[in-house]
Amino acid sequence: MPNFAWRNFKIAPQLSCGFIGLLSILFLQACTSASDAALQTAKSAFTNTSKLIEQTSLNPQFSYLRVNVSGLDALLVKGYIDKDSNGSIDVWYASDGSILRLQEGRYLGSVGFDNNWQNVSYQNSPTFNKIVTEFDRPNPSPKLSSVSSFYPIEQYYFSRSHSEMPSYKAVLNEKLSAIVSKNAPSNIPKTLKSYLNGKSLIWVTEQSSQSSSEKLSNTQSWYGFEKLSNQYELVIGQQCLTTSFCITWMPWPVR
Amino acid sequence: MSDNIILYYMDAMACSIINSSNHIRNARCIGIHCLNLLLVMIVSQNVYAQSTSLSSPQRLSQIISPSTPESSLGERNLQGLMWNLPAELKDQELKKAELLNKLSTMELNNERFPNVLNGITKLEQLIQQLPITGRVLLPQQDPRWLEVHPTFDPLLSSKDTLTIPQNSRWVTVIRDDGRICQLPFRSKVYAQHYTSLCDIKDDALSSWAWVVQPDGKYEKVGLSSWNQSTQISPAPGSWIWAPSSPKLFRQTIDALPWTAKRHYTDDFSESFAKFLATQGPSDAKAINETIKADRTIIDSPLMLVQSQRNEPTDLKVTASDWGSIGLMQTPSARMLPSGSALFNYTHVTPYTNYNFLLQPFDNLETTFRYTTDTNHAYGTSELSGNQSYLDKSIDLKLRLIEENAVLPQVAVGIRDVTGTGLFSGEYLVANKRYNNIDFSLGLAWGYMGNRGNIKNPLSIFGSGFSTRPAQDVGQGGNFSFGTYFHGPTALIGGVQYQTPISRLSLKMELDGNNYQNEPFGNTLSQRIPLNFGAVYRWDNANISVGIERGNTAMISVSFFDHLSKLSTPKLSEPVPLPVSYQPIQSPFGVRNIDPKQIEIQPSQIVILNSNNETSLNEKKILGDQKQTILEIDTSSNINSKLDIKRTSQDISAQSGWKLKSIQTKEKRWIATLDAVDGVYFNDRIDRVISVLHRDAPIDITTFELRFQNYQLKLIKQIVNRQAWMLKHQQLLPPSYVTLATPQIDEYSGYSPSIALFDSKTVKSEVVNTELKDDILEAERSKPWSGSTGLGFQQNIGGPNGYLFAFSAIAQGNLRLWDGAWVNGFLNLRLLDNYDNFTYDAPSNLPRVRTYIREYLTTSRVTIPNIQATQVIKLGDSHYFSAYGGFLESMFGGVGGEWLYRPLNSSLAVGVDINQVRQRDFDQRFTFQDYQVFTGHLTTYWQTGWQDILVKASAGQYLAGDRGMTLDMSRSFSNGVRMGAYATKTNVSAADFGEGSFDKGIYVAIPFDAFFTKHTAETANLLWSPLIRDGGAKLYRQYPLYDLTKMRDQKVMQFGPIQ
Repeated sequence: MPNFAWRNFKIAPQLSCGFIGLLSILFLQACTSASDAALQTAKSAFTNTSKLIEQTSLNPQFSYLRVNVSGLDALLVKGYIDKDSNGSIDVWYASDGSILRLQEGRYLGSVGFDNNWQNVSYQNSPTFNKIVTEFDRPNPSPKLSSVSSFYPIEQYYFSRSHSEMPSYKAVLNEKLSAIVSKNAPSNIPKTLKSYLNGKSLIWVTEQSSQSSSEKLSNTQSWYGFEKLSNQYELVIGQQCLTTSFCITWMPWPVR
Repeated sequence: MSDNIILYYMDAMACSIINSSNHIRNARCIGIHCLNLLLVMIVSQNVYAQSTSLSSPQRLSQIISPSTPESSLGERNLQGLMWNLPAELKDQELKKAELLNKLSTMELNNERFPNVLNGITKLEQLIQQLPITGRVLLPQQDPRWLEVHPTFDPLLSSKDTLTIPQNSRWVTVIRDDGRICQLPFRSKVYAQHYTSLCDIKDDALSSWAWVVQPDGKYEKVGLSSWNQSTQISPAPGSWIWAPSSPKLFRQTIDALPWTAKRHYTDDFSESFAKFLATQGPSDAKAINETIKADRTIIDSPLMLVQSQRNEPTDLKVTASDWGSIGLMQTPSARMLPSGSALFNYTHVTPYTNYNFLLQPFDNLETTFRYTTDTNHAYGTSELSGNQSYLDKSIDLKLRLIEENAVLPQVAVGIRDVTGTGLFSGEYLVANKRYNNIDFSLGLAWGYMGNRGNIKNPLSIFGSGFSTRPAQDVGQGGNFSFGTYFHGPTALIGGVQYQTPISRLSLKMELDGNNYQNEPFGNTLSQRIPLNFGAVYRWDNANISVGIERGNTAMISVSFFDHLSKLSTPKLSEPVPLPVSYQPIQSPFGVRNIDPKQIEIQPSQIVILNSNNETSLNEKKILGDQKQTILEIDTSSNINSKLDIKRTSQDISAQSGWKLKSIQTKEKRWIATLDAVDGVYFNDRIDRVISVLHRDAPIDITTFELRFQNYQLKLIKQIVNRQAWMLKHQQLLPPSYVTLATPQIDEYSGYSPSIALFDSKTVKSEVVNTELKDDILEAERSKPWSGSTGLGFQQNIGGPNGYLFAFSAIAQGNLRLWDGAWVNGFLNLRLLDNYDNFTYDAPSNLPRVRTYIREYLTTSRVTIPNIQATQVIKLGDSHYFSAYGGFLESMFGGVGGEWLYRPLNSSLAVGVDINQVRQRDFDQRFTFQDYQVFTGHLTTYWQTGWQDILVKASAGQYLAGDRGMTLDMSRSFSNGVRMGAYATKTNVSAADFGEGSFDKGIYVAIPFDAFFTKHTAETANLLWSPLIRDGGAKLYRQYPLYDLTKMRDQKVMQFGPIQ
């Protein structure tokens, strides 16, 4: 990849609004020289990053990814395509230097966010192309298991290892299953949801296939695919790293 | 991090493997381009194998880059990556020797206990066998991230070694008897599980352990039912140091400072954890081959699987109805972490509490409160309308014993220490936790113990304790030592249960009050003495509901935060200038630490002046030519000409400070800066240096920064330019970081015998910097400045209820000459409810403060302050100021101050004297008749204990009363300060009026902690129960102690929380 200079959006810690908001009202006294700083802070706190992203003119030489991290939107640019025996790895950069890795569309780790997974590896994971192609066939392959006799849902089994930071929780060989359906997940971030209107997507959801007592993590990921000129393209993806921290991404601009 | 990202990358390179070390197995290349030089990276199977060195400086990110064909991120244990430097060996050797010395001391203390002695000896042998590696910890090991964060990306020299261990599947526990226990790693298993499986003897239980991760980070974690908390999980390859806890009360005795240490102290464990961090990942095979020690290998997946179900959780602490941490009506011995603050609103008919809690220390909790009693009126309807009675109170809670495996946590507290006594009470309470249940049990006196169901145990010291004397509160605000812990006593206690729903806790308590002796002779009905409640928590807030007295609903809302952890990224500041590489020499007599210069002979260096703006400033190695080109980014560096106007403008934009001049003295640039104010200085100083580094000629080796504020000379800093530059370009090892830290030095003030500058002054904007000993003066900024803003004032707790006013404020400043200026404020009251403000407090003293209503309401347009000030520094440590004008909203006059403040001294002393006259209420240009001489002798003492600053002043106050003020405050690393003050003068409590003497609690939060732009201002929240005339000081605008704050090392360390 060539060098690039990039100035845009930061994945910055969210400005504290609760208790400190209350305190700042109490503290707001005769400090004229602090007024400018207060104004700048208010601007930062109330900047509509979603709108900013939509108004940003893009350099056609670069590939962009719009991400939503814990409710904050940011635009990332592709910096590298690293080779790997399991498929090429896209390395995406935020303007503060945080990075996000995707391998064939799947989350393969990140650095710089509040929570990150590192050393992510998949074992025997089916390719998305295979999953959605099978699903979209008139007669799905009989080798796939069915979890419901009334509404057949394709299910694939594989495993994943990762280390969660900064908690250092290492999860080795977590058994996962991938389920395909036409039902959209319920937790699509608001700022991204509007771009899915009118699209007929196939959704792949990956989660632990182990019983609740054996579960190594309680996280889920999902991916939305759209069929465009006989090709299935990833429109949106999400990986929850903890029960309350999710990263959602969407190739930008949306076709 | 900068907004601008420049990705450094290397072209795809071929790889060659050159290695034949017998010590290394499974060596494999990870991709370094090698032409005629030997560039090799070895992956070692274990941390004790010798690794082969690099032959020339390379960035770590390049060495481990996944771009190279044979690299695959998933196959390498980058978390255990070890960067080992010979330069660090000496320091680590010393630290190892210190560890062994500590063990030798312990051996002496345990000569009479052969078993213990034997264990210490074995641990000593084990530590002796652990190698000194020279490992420098890496904050991050991801090559792609390191590439865009060069300050974290080390430049490895040929003397360094890099080791990438294989993935470990083991966790190693070290016990205090020198035994090693190895277990297979298992997900969701924590230190407590690993250590408990390793326990052989029943009496070797551990309460605490230190988990050392493969990357060297470590954390002290709780292992028991009483101290478990959310904690890091041991990663594969972790070390766990788990000293066993002393048995029973020995644990408490060992904690005493004068006790001979028979067991491992936290200090020892911390040092040992740091040493283990240098060892790299623990690997079972390597340990077996290298270390002779008793070892146990437990390979029992079943036992580990069972452990997976018990994830350690935190003890949740929540506020009681009275703000203090506790159950509902009863406090507990629990506390928030130091630096916390909490606001709580609680309503239980007929009372409503507004509580504000501050936790200045780990073992001291303070709460102040307003309580409304709807059963009683504030005063006559003429005075306060239909407002309910309002009581003000301050509580203190002191932790006596910290919980350990045996003893409960114990605290003693007093509610309403110096108030009216209506709700006064005392308590002694103990808490013991068992996993998700926290039990509390204690005794209460006074309001809390009105049930009086047990005999006062203190009556054994005298029958006087059996009865509680009627409290003579007088004017309120006094201590009532004769009533504390006297009279009927009640049992209090209860449980708090953390439910499986992580945000929900349940509470049940035994109430010590029977509500038959409520204030003003009231009684309340109580069906049962038990109260029940539930708390639902969010990150910074919680809501509680409950049933109290068996018949009354309770609702409570709390907001809380760790003020000492407040930090906001400076998103609104300009992007810091990039720091480009220059082949800067080290200052004379200081060692050269630039690996690019160390690696090559001077004859091999060719300076290439490139105009290419995208220059990477990286050394390129030309294989066959055997020459090294140091490529300089000449697009930004002006080697021979300096545009001081540009330099000045950039310094102003980057730091907000003014460049006065730059002087060249041989290889030193002396930059004088004025208007140097702020809270987080270091970031601003780095920004200034980045401008100087960009503009200084390449032969400048040292920057000397001279800081002034209002032309008052403060300090100077000496900067080793080479080390500073390298620190901002790469990760420096600890032994080099000190070289990059600016050294603070005295900046002498005016002295007739000293000629500060004997050089020629040049005033042109672009100057040939090859001229030596010239002073280049920056363009002087315009002499006046101004700003506008909004102001807010509030008054809480008076008979007129809540009063507020929003104002527009204009501020102007006119510089007269060096050290002299005129400053003024204009205030326009925009929005208020001062129509309700009718109350004038009575006073037996000259009304120096109790005319506050008149001052606030007489005029909408006021001039709170306009004054001329002159400051000067004489010699090294003596500061003077003289001022005159309308010094504050109520007084004007003239005054002066002298401060003696030696650099970096913990002590300072100052005197201020003022002749002032009371201003008219409209705060314009006229005075009233009252005038007074006021002044104080003040000593300032940075105690060095818990970051406490003590200010003690004695003198004459505005009302002519004489006495002293004691002010104690604790500061935190982000600049937040919590404190309290009290003033006692020769005015009697009766003459002082309500409150008896002046006192208050305050918290000061620098705006730097929560604004996205640097500012020097601080938000002050002062809670003073009453505004009275006794003990009133003049509010001086420019106290010298504040103006000279840069002279305090502690203040210079304030900064954002990392």
